[in-house]
Amino acid sequence: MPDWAPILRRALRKSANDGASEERVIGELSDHLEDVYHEAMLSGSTPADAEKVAREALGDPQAAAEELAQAKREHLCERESRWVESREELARQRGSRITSLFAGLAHDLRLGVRGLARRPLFSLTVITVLSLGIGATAAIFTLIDAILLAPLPFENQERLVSLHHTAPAVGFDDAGQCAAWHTLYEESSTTLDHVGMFSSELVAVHGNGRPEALRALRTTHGTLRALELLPVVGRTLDPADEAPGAEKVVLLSYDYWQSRFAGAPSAVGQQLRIDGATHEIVGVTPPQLQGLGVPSDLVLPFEIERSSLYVGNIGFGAVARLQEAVSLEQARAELQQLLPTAWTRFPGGPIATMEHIEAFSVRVTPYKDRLVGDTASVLWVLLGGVGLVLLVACANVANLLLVRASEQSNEMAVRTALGASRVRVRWEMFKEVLLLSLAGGLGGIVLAAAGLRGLTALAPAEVPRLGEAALSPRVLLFVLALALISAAIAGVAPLLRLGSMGRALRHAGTRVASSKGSQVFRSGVAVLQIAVVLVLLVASGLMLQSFRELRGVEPGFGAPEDVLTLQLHIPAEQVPDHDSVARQFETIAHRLEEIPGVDAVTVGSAIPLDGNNNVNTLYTESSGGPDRGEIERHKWIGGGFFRALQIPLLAGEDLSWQDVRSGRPAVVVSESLARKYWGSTAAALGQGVAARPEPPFYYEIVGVAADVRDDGVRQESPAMVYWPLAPRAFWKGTGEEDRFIWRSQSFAIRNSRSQDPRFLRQVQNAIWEINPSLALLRTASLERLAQIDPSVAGTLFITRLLTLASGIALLLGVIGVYGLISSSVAQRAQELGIRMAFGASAGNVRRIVLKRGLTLCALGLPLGLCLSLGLQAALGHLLFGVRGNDPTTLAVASFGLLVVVLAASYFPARRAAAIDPIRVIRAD
Amino acid sequence: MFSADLKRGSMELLILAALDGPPRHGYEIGKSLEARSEGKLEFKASTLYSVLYRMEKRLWIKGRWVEKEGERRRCRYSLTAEGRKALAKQRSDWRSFVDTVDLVVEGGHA
Repeated sequence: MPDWAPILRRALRKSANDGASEERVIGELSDHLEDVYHEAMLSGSTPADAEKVAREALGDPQAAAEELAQAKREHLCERESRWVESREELARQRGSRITSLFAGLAHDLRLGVRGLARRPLFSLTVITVLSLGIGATAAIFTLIDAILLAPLPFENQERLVSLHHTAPAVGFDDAGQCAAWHTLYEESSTTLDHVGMFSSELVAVHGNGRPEALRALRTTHGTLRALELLPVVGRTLDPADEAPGAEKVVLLSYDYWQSRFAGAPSAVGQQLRIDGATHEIVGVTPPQLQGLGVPSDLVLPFEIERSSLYVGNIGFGAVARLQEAVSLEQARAELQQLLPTAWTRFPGGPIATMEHIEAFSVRVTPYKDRLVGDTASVLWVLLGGVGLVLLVACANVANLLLVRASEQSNEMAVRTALGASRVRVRWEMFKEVLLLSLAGGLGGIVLAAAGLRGLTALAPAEVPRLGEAALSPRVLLFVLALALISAAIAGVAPLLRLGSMGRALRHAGTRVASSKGSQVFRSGVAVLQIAVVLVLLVASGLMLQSFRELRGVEPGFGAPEDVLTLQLHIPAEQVPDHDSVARQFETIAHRLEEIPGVDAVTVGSAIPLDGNNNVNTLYTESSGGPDRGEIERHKWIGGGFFRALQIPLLAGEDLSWQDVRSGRPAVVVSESLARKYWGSTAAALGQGVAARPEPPFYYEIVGVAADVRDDGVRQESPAMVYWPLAPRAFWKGTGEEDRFIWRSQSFAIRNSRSQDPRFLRQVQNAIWEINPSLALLRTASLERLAQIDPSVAGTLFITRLLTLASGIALLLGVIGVYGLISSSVAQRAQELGIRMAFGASAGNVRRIVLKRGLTLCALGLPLGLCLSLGLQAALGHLLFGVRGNDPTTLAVASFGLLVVVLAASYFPARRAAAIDPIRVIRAD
Repeated sequence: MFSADLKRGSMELLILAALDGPPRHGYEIGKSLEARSEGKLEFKASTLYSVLYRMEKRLWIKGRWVEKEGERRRCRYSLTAEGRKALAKQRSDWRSFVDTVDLVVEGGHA
């Protein structure tokens, strides 16, 4: 007689039984088989036949082992159910329906968790997919929350407004504020409580050692009052601080006070040397001041001399507080009425013709909107992008759930037939989706936290309030909502399919997912996925194109990577007269040229992309005296400006240091300015231009330079006038003594050592040899300025994020299509087998499956293309050099997606072609 | 004879009924079912024991290892109090189910 124990042991080892129960099974089954064997022998069988009979009586030992394991698991659930039933019974006895409800819910959840834990791969896949979608959406929402939704850190912040002016007719799209307008509003407005004007600047603070460059908020007293900020220590700014000749005072920012004075109240009353002048520290501002959007270490008062005010020198920021119960429109109407009186009240400015005055209008916008600016539209676009990724993720999950629902359909049908309520059965199913979504939400929070760090690192420097981004309660609520919405989207399909459960009973054996309706639904989901993925691909493709176009724009100057730029400010306290200031700038330029590796050095009131710009009225010489004048952009430049920046000279000559020193009335203009006034570059040479009308002091145009994208590559090159660094008789006067110069100048140092870390040190030492108290402000290569050019940096940011989003969506979408086609191959295995048995070749079968993928594309791609046409509206203002319906981008994205979908169909197709017809037909 | 599904679905009831008497070991239970059904119900050992385990875990039946003189040590199963209740309920359920099915299947023309 055979020894049954080792045979059974071998069979049972394949399943996960614990030792004790395995021994029992082996013991009992051995006994059983022995009985069968004996019985067979007694009835006259040979030993071999008897063994055969016994083996047949055993059945499938593997199945037995699995059933035993299953029985054990069911037993666990059973115990749970009984426990809960007893609790529910108890609760009912207590008459507490609520306890019962919660007991039921807790039980449901516990069972749900157990259920999911039993299918770790399925659960993990669903949770990962949802985490990706929810995490990406939550990360972007965190930015939206911090930047757009969170209120500014000021009392009654909804009454804070920004004031600025526009005059598109005369070339000012956004003119900001000027001191004359500010004073007018401050003195005359009855709708505004407080009006403040401010700007940001860099100042040199002299401690014991070398000067330190610090960020200063230059402001009138009204700013701090409008923001309703009280000083932490000391006092705030007073109107008296703005009077000419007043004692120089400074307020410290909270952070600077903490880092430099360790938060000691005794800092107030101490002295600080700023730009060579001694200032008394009179107070410390609270940390909320940073909410103004001007990062600052120090707060300095403007000096406003009322008698010399004029409308001009525009470009400051302005904040005001609306009086209670005053609307934006009421305030705007009042200011608009006041605006023209500025020219009569403060005459003598450069912008004075009636045409100019009438062109200006005032804008009153909520301060937060102004602060956030274009960022809002960028963020909403990105949220839309990641929202689509979440949609694709939900579609994938819906598909997975549908497949699972089919596996459970018979069980559910039986349960319904046995009397479980439909609601109960549906809830069982939805509960699982809910748990998965909530787990996905948790994973999303983790991903969002990680993604947020990446986002803040990637975001362009000028994005406001970025530092405030954090996972706030609002973000957590949003994630919860996303999880619930995802559960609803992903769970609705399997629930709907459950509606046809009765059929599952009738067609015992056929599965829900393989039913026709279900196939159509799943294909519909895949078509939608393809469409959404295409929209994202097109969007990122358009942004990529825009970025390439932006990078391809000729900036007008050469080899920016070899140009080091920095700013120097020579304070009046150190060098009082303008002549000496000009000489010191020239001496520094010459000293810098002596540094080994330096090819050329120049100075200018602004260099391309540094954000500085000046506008003034330009008068051109004509036969009958000066014309009306037009507002144009201006720069004041030192010698060799065009050579150092490698800006091509199209006609005439560069200005030299000799020209600057001698006060020669010579000027260079840009190509577009030359064409605008005289039709050609050649015709401009020899013409006279002046910065003042009565009496004019004409400068002769000696050169015409190529246009430069001064405001960044996205903006058109402005027409430009390049005056000498220290022109004489510029605003007034006639002679040598009437020199005028800006005390802040930018340097451009063209060199071959930009990679050498010692180079900057040598530059610093060279400058300090000439003047040891100058601080080097804003040192950066010209290339770096080009990179942080907001238009390029912003486009790059959106491009990167949309590309990432579309990459994730593509991956999820491909997995979805692959899953769909794989399962359809599995379901059609028999049909395909029969086809092959009747002579279909492997190639035929492959084509049948590939056709499925092709059909999905044939529906999904056109739908995606239609949706993509909406991108022009969503992305329009972010695009550059490419339209939303760019045919190349649409074609490349569609073709690329088609190839990827076909590739995803190819693997199931190859599997289908390898089907063994005999085996699949027999399998039924 | 009958389809596996049908047999599996009713197996618990059958075993409960087979154990409504003295304790039996697995082989005896199988033989008893075979005999009572006049050979129409035959179960594979693996199926039989998995159901027995499941029922034992439900506390419907109890297995005890019993040694008798001249026999091997065998695990014999008997009904528990809960098992008797289950048997009573399943019997009545079964009857009403059969009556209902009869009503539908036989009286369908009514």
